[in-house]
Parts: sequence; structure tokens; C-alpha cells
Amino acid sequence: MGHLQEEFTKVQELVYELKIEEAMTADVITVKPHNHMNELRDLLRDHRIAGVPVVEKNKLLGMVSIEDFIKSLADGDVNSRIDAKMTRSVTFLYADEPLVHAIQKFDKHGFGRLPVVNRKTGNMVGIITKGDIIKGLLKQLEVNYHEDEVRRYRANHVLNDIVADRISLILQYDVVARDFERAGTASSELKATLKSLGIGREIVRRIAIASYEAEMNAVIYSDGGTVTAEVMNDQAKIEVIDHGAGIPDIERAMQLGYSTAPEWIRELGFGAGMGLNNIKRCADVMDLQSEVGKGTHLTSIFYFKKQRNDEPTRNH
Amino acid sequence: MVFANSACVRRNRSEQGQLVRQAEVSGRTSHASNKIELYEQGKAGLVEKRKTQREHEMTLAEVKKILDCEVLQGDKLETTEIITACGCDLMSDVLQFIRPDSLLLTGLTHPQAVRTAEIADVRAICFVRGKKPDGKTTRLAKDKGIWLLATQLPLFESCAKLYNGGLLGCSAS
Amino acid sequence: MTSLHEIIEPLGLEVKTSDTDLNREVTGGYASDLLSDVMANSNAGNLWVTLQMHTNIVAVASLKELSAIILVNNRTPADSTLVKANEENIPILVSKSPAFIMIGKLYEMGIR
Repeated sequence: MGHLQEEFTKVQELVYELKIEEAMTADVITVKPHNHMNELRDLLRDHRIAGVPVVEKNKLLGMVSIEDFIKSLADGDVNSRIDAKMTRSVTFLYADEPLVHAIQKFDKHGFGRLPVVNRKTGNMVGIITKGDIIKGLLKQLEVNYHEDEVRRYRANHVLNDIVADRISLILQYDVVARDFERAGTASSELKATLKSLGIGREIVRRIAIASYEAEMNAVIYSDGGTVTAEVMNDQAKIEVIDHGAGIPDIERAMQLGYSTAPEWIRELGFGAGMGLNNIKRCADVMDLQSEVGKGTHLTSIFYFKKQRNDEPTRNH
Repeated sequence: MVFANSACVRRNRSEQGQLVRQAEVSGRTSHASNKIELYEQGKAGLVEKRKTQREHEMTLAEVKKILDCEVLQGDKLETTEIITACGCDLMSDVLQFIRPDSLLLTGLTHPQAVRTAEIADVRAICFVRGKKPDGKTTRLAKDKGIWLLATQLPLFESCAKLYNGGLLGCSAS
Repeated sequence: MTSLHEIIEPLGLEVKTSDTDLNREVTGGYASDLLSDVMANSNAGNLWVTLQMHTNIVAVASLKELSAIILVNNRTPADSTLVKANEENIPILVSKSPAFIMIGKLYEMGIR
């Protein structure tokens, strides 16, 4: 049941994400305004369709349907030109509108098909039916599902296939001192890895924020170091160890707004004296050790608690 | 799959949960009638969702229009939504206060602005006061799937116009 | 033109300085957390919205003749900053709101 609910939500998201042009049929059967109504009969019958757009020089002039044909048959003027019988005020869609607009228009007007027009050129570029919408959604769902499966297999697979009472997966990243441009790559890579291991979004975000703050401190104030993450069954421990000047007064360093950052770092939006507090706020446990002249060792622990249970499992 | 608003998704899930249960209970009815029922209620869910979200969210296309932005990175602006905005130049404060899937308005254009956005799940950055990032910043944003816009307006006016356009801020609560 | 004391109550601002002139005119608003930006781009009489707590905010405000500083996100200035602000006659006001919302409300009140 969980699966079905998930798919429903996905479809709801998809009708906003997909554009008309991604689901429409681009290869459209059209008629010209100077064609005659009796030519319409064979066209509709051969292609098993109930109506066609009337187009000249790529511009949409109207729609003509099987009802229009029947009407002209009854009136006895099947030899009249199509532009004399077609519906001129046509509801249409732009190719770049979300799919949900098509659903709303079908719903409102009860049409079976709507022509699609390019917003910039004004040219008719396709036609969309209810069937096209369903086909488009199914295709996209299949693509997404496949991507999900591959990702889950690659990642969750690793943790699921390990048989042990306790798991401890160590991930280590180097931090290069004063390389402001590359700064943050350790935390970025850690974040992506934790995400693909199937750990919940909210907790991954907290870990990434704490790790990034600590990494920036190591980049700005030390001679370099490492970010080490130990992922266990129920928690992750992040240690940022650097070598260099160290912190003379940890209590003071923890004060809001206290900073020894040079002016150029401040002008880049860092070093405002909020970083350590940010780490403390994100982590469930935080410990800061430092020795002047040697370096700093920051440990933070994040308990997975409920989030870990919510993790998607492969149920067969 | 990016969910625009997890709270709304969750609410829709429970609506659909009810719906699925209904279908299960009436298991003896034909498949066809079930399908119609599902389709009808599914549609109602969509409309409902749209209504509840409208008050809080804004598409990047609307942001672009309100602030007369140049788009530096990202497409599908009409269907990309942000739930709140935060105007800030201090990265620690961005990390602390901004909500996921939001817009960051800032005068900082170096790659660390994008890095901060990536770490905090920020959806888009709008650079203010005519500041433009270099290629490194734009490349990183492209790599991480973060939208980049740029406006000539200063931060004060940018925030003011979006606020008055109905966008919410990231309050601590 | 709006006078500073007119906005204090409606916006729920807490006046942190004890001895500053709250009757001055506010010519407009400026928002930034970077001192160099404020130095370069703000105008005299501007109300400065920031969450920057650096003691130099008073020096910058004084130099650029800004009308006041609003600290957002409930930032509390250090005592040394307040002493300086009183000396330089730069009112420091504190709000619980984030900058985005504070700016939106100031704009609504006509501060542009």
C-alpha cells in the first residue's frame, strides 16, 4: 500500500513538472482551410480520429470535427470549404505549459484533444489527448522508477547486505588549508554519500551543515586536516581534525559573534563567529578539544533515531 | 524526484491513503468504476494542493518578473517553486536559518555561496545589486542543480518586493 | 518622510541604546551584512538592516551618517558595541524577525 501512495504522490508532482511538449504527439494530421468537407471523411476514417486542426503556414486557424462533417452532410453541402464549417475560436495550449494545464482544460471543456502552439513562434507544434497524458506520465514514472532502483541497489544494498551485529563504515576526506575555492568539497562529498546510503534528508542536512562549518574553520585557521565520518547502525560520528595554531580559549571561541577572522574572510561572508554554535545546534553531542600550536579536534555525533527506521527498504 | 513541499506531500499521502482504503473496501465493484473513482479523487487532490500551496510558494518565473532578473543557471522556471526566502550575506546564518527548498538573496557571488546553498538544500540564489558571479560559481551551481538569478536591485528592495509579492520569510519558528 | 520613533512600536523593535536620538528622519533602507558594501553603497539617513554584530558596525554607521541600525534574528549587541553606539549617537534596535520580513514591513511603512 505504501508503494501505491508513493506513486500517487509522484504522479501529482509529475503533472506539474512535465511540460505539454514532453507528452504531446508532434506528428499531427492536419487539414488546410481550402480542403473540402468531403475530403475530411476519409481522413477521419483512415486515422480513426474524431477531429483535426486546420492549419495554414504552420498557423492554427481552427478545428474541424466529425460533428461538423455530419452537420454539413445533413445540410447537403459536403462540397463546401473546410474554413466555412470549422470552429474558429479554438482552445489551445502552449508547449511550455505544465501538463496540469492540459488536465484542467480537458476537465473544464470536455474536449478530447487540444492543439499545442509554440509560445514564441505562434506555430502549431503538436496535439495532446488524454491518452498522451497517461502515456507521458507512465513513461516518466518508469524512468524515475528505474533511476530509483539503480540508486537504491548501489547504495542501500551495501548496508543491507552486511550481516553483522554492529556496522561501522569509515569515510575520510582531506581538507586543504587556505584553499578557499575548493573549501567545502569534503562536506559536499560526505553529504552526497550519506544521502545515497539512504539516511534521511533532514539528518543528512544537519550533518552536512556541521561538517561544512568545521571544514571552513579548518580551511581558514589551520594548516589542513581531515573530515572523518563513521556511519554506524544508529548514529554517525563526524570528526574534523586539523593541524596548526589551535584555539587558545575554547570558552571564548564558543561565544556568539566572537571571531578572530581576518577582514578578507569576513568580507566573504565567513568568520562572523557563529560557526561553532551552529555545529552545536545541529549535533546531538559535540566535543571540542584544542592544543595551541598543535591543532583542533572537533567531534560531533548525530543519532539517527526515528529517521533511520523511515529509511526506504527493499521489500520483496 | 524533488518534492516542492514535504508537508503538503505528506498531507496528500494521507488523503490518498484514505482513497486507497476506500477502493479496497469496495473491492467487489468493477475495476472500471474503481478507476473512475480514483481518477476523480486524484484530480480533486491536485486542485486542493494547488490552492493550499499558492499562498506560500512562488515560482522562479515570478521571482524573475518581480525583480527583473537575468537567469544565469537553470531552466523550467515556471514549474520551479521556492517556499520561502532569506536575505543574508553571512554564510553561517544562511546555514542556520534558511529552510530547505528556499531562495537565498545575497550580494556574495563566490563559489562558497553555492556551496552553502548545496549544503543547506537551498533551491535558488538571486545575486543582488548587479553583482555577477564568475564561471566557477556558475559551473558549481550547474553541477549541483542550483538555480542562479541576478538582479540590479539592492538587497533591501529585492526583499521588499518579494515580501509584498506574497513570499514568506524563514522565521525561526 | 518617516521619523525613526514612528516605526519602533508598530514593528515591535527593542531599543538597545539608552542615549540616542530617536526623532531623526529615515531617508530609506539599506540591507547588507558586509561592512565594505555598506561603506560603499548606503546613503546618509538610511536605516541599516543587518545581523552583523561586529563592533565596527557603529563606526560604519557613524561614518556614513546612517539613521539607525536594526539587528535582526534577535541578535544582541555586545555591551562594548552599545557604549560606542551611545557615544556616536547611533540607535541600535533589535527585532526577532529575519531580515526578509523586517525589510518587507519597513517597505510597507513607506521606507524605500
